[in-house]
Amino acid sequence: MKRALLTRHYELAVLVTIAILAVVLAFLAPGYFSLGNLTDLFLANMPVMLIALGMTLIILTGQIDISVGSIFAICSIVVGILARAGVHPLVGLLAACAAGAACGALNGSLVAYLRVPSVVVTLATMVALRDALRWQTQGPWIGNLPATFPWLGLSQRSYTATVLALVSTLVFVFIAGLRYLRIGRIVFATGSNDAAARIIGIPTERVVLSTFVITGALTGLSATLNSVRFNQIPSNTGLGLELKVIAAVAIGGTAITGGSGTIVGTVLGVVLLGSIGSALTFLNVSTYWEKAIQGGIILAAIAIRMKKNYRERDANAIDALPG
Amino acid sequence: MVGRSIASVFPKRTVPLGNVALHVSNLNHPAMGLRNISLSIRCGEIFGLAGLVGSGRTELATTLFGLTPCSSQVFVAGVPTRITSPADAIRLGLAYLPEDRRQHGVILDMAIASNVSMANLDAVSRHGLINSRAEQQFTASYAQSLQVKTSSVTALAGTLSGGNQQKVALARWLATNPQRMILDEPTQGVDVGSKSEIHELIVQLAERGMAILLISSELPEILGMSDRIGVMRNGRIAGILSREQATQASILSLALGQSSLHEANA
Repeated sequence: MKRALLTRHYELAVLVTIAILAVVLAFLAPGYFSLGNLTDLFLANMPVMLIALGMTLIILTGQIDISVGSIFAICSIVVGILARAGVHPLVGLLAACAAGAACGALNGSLVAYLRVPSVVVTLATMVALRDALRWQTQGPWIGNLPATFPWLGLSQRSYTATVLALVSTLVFVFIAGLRYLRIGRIVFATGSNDAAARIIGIPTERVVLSTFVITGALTGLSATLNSVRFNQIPSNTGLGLELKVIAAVAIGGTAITGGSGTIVGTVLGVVLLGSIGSALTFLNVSTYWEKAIQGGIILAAIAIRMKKNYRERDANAIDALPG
Repeated sequence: MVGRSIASVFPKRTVPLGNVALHVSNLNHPAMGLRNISLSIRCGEIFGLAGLVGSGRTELATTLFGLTPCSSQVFVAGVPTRITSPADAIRLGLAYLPEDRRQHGVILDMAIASNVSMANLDAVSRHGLINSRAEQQFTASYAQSLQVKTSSVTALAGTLSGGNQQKVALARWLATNPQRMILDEPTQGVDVGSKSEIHELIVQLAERGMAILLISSELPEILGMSDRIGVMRNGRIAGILSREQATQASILSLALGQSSLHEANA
């Protein structure tokens, strides 16, 4: 019974886990909830959140993009180079989004039109893009950024408020879009049953391509918002970002096989995954455990999801018996 | 079915035929193995397509529907067109109920209402925004007229029985108001009750003036439902029989080829 509840209201299970973690922290390390720490946590996980919105769409259509970390690095360098050249930060932001969208379009068109498996395509672009970048920058970090660059020329507080408003708006748009817009319905249909969706006249190739482009643009946006927090841009930025993003989406309950999942789940996944790391520090657990615990959570999440899938499939199989 | 005459099982009624709704002449599609296909179907007519598995019936259906487009022209209501995608076909008033319901038909992990409105989201949305109440009413009306047995149209399509899933797939196409329907094995894997309901529905659609291409491997169904019967063999139409001419033997001899039937008899 308990397990049935867990599998049926999956997001609730993630929420409860977060609540338990919060209660433990409130008792053992109240400093965790200081405004400064929460701000840090939010800004550190903001890129994961933004990219995870797009990644949820990609995974909903049954694909995956493991090159977002490399795209993030490219976009960050684009922002840095433009800023150093004295370009207005907003132009830099648009350029980064365009660069991200272009990388997404490359991945997406290979996946959608040439039907190359997305794992293969994005594994290749992950390596190719990062090494192209290494060759281009020759390694050194981008420094000497102009005074208008940090915090987009805003105060740190108003920057944080702006980013919070922007991220919340985007989360809301994605939630509403998937639930109420035709395009959301079409994404679910493509991921649930590509062949059936094509017969109904849905251009599934274009749907898949757009999810990659959207994710690329979001990666560009997050790279810009992230870069302005530092006065140098490391050329190896975004290393391992794709794992955090995909893990957050998986923890959020989006089926890795496509066709089922929610943005609310993804947001909860980002919160849970993002808060664990620094929670361990606050609880005086060695940070060496961080990755192991994150891995454990991911495994548990996927195991619960798969169990649910199998149960539904069994139910379908029984219903499908003649008569 | 044993001991009953075909006429009593199939609700076929004669419908006055209208203009030619769908016409192809000399359609060739080498990649799909189709050669020299000529046929025309008139409004109100049920054109049965018989043949062995692999004779090219489904390939012809997917080609006509733009899933496997070819360079040949298709005349829709007398107008020459080139159908290069399912979206084209739907715009021209075609519908295609695919053979494999679970693979290509209903989307099992979506609600019945979403399945039905899928091919005609325009009817339930405005400015890209889906009105879920309108969608449920829209679906409920089709579900009722097709007698889909379900407690709620918000239930997942995967919870329905095979016959009811097929009715949902049919409802989805009826929701697009098609004038020409391609039905590929519409009663395969469907329980007996739903089967006769689907047959009755097909006849009603023909009475409303719809042109229907009925693909079936079940000879009694083909014989009992069709006005004319085309028999395919090796990607060609081996012959077209009128309702009066057609018998199980005449269909089979065309499907197998005369020579091989003689060999079998010898």
